[in-house]
Amino acid sequence: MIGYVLKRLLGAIPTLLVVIALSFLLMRLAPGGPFDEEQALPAEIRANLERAYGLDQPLYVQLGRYVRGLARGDFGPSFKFKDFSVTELIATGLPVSLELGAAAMLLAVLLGVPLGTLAALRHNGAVDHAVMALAVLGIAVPVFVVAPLAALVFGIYLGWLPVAGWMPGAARDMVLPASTLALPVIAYVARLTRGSMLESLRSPFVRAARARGVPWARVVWRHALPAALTPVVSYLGPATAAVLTGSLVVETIFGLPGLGRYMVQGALNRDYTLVMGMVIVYAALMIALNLLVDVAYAWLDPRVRPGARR
Amino acid sequence: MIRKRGLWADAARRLVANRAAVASLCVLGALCLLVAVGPMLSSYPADELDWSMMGTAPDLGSGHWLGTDRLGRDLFVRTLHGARISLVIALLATAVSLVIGVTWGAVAGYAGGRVDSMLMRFVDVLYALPNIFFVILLTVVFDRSPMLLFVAIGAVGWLTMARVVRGQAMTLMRRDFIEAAIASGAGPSRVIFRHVVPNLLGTVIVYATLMIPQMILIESFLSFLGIGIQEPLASLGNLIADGANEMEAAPWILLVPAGCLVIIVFCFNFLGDGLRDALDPRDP
Repeated sequence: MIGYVLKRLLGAIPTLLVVIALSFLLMRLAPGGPFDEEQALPAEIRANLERAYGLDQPLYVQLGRYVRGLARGDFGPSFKFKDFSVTELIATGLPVSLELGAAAMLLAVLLGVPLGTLAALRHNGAVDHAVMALAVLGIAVPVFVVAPLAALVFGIYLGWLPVAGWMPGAARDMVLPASTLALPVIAYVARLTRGSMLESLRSPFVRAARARGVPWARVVWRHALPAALTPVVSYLGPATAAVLTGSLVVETIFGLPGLGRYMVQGALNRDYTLVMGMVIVYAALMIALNLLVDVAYAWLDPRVRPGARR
Repeated sequence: MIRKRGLWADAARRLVANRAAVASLCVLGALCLLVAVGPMLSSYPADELDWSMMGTAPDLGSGHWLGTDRLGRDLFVRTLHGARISLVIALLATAVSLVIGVTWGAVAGYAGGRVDSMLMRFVDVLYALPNIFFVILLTVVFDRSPMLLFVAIGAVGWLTMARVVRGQAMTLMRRDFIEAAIASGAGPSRVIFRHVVPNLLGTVIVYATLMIPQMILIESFLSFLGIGIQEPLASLGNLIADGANEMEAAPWILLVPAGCLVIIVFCFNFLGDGLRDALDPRDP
């Protein structure tokens, strides 16, 4: 198992390098430079600035320097947030985004799995239809429509929760952003769980357990559900991607000082180093989480466990 | 005499039997018509500011059927304009990713071996990443040009298509008629584009239909964040962003474009599911 994890970790390095090189080259292809202001800078000052940031060097030198910096945890200076390095911006934003994302994922699993299980147990009943309707809605209505509506209803009409703002550790501030972010994932997890649970409830091992006289609740929780969870686990990778994407909108709408907001502002300001740093951080996060999901999958499903006899 | 029934006639018959898909098709058709001629029905142009009518509620009497936005522009006309831009960008983006995805997948499936594993390894790498970040990167590279927005979206959305097409192409390559074509001297590009690709059409149509709503959502997502379509042009995304700012005082400014977006996405999804059932009857 440890060998498998190490092998996957080594395999992730070329992926990350491809991402870094791709985003670096794309950014350098962009028209206009980071020093385009409303007033044109005198040529000498411009040349000095470019030398200070190393922009006068050939591309491959710049790329090499950038990668070496990354290895030391240095993402370079932000071009628009003066006096801040991209590393500092990431360090302030990452905890917020991680907390938001983790809360959303937790919510998605803790609500999605029971909802899907309930729907499968009451197949074609009222609960089942309600869950399926929710699932269709949650998948077709995008986060940027749900988030303002949720803020309108729960924040303004009902006044239960704050509409914006962020205090570290304040759970109240987290409820609306995390639940709007989780909604599409809850919907998808519920639909997946329902489908595989229906299949698992019909399978021979469940009938065998029933025949041996195992109580129904135990059959559901200990026999049927664990077997039904593998597709849910393999969906957690794409779910993380959905949560990261949604966090751009949710952080912007609810005013959370996370990575997503820096990414959006960086794109609006054409802040090369900031956008690049964000893309790399998101890519690294995704790769790490995908690895985690794969390991969890191997642990859950003996058939894909490395070293398993086929 | 028994009438000949081909693949397409069969598929059409199955599609018509699917009520949700037919209803979606009708709604989408009506919407396209409305988007094309609707602005002419209203007596208000899309870009006229009316300082005396800022943020008025929907009212059939005043001629502002769906109200006005915070600058007094008619929301009915603006939403139709927005839907038009969103639809056009989504269709163009789908076309871009169709061309890239089908070519990529068909070449990989045709070539096999090392070429195939290299091409698909690249797809795997990109697949593991949330693609919206690359779209944002590309929009920055393209200087947020609305003309190139669809290229940026399309350049990133082709991965699923490439995977599906490659799988299908690989099975096709083992069929006799491909062998016959190669034996009679057809070169690689002729085999790919005259023999492999036409036989993938059903699958491609299904995935393209399911891709359109994804593209609409990506475009609206970017425009919502201010990275896509910008004022004074309207897209469903920036109309929703406008509405989100005004929702406390004038919720209809949010609800009208949001409703329009949700209806479009719903219809395309139902239509795509219907087409999948119609064209791929093996999978009930």
